[in-house]
Amino acid sequence: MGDSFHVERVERSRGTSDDLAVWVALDKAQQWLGQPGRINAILALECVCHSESLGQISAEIGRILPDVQVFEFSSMAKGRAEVRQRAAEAARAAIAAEKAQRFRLRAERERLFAWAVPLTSVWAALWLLIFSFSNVRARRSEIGLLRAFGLQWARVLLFFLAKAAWIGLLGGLLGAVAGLGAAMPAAGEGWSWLLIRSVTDPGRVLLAVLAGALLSVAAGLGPALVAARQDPADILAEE
Amino acid sequence: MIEARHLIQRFHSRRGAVVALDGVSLSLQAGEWVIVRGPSGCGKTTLLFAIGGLRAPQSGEVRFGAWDLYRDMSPERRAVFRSQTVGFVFQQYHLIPYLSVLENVLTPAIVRPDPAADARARDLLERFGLRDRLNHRPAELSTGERQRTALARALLNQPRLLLADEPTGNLDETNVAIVLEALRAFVRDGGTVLMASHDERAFAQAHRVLRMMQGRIVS
Repeated sequence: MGDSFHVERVERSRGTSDDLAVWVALDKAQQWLGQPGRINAILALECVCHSESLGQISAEIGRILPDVQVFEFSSMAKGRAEVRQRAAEAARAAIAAEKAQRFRLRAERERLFAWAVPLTSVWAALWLLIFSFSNVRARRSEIGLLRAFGLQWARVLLFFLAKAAWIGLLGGLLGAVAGLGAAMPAAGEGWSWLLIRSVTDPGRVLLAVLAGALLSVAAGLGPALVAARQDPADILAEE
Repeated sequence: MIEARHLIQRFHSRRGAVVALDGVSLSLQAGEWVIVRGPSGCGKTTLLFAIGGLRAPQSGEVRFGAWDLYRDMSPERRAVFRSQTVGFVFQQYHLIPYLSVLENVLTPAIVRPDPAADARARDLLERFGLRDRLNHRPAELSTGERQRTALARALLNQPRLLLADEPTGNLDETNVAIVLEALRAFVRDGGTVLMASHDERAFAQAHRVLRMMQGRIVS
């Protein structure tokens, strides 16, 4: 070509056909090839394109410029597209794996809760029932005395139900706090109010506390009715 | 003031039927002190409970003014009658063990709240020589002090009828004198006392002493 070449720099090997390419300035190439102003380049390196869309771009250019011969310089775009595709696939796979893991954990939790929650509830209700009956028994004389003094049976019932509700509320609150206390270190996050606020659904905590009170009232209803319906004369005469 | 007519009450147990009241009739006037005496199991406590609106007899009636306690009053109304009209002193005292003397005396005020109850309770305890025992628990009291506490509690709501079951049983002379003086003062102020007792020291104070045998008033 009658020109001397100065190698500006050697590109890092990419393992593609780019490794066999010589990169020159466009005006130099036009000059060497004897076609000044006739050869041009469309740099679409930043576009999100891949092999199919490159063909589409070539066809469109051919339609707009019918006398122009279009050479696709696609290897970089392809490489980038492939990398992007691989990254997207990897991301999709990671998301799918994470979803599957969460689904598995959730299923395991649900399986555990399916028997643990009813069992715990029954155990708590049973304990409350025993506690309430023993409380009624221990306060038998007192109930008889107050009924003799004119206390209405409905107030005795209300007293024992209110006590059961209070125990249930307190138990629900303590349970919620204990649950959070157990969950935080297990999550490996340590204690922080921010974390507690971020993982705690106030609606669910409220529901748990109210459910505790309701369960307690249900368990205490029988003993409360027994207490309210006791004949004061029987109690005061027998003791 | 209050009148019992033909009261009949039978209890059934494994050992057979027990007749606690067998056609008992009794009339009590305001300012009257009546003692019912008789052996254990003759029906004294059952009579007190029936007249106090605590246990309905199987037949007969207990009239308070124009009302029959068991036919004309609902259980709720009867409870109000007890809280407003009747004071009970039980044989076993029935003091609440975890409450102080003052709190025990105030228990009727749980049923019928009254802002003056606290002052009245303190006054009663002062009268019964228990001023220094206000904050003691029943377990820390002597038998006489427990009985006096029970009496103060019965008088807290200023009842018109006081029903006392052996209020002087197991008491020494001093305590008997205190209890009887309190009952005398109550009657003097227009109250009515119906008392079950074996205690001859009390008989001299009463207007009438009735003798019960096997559910009947025999003299």
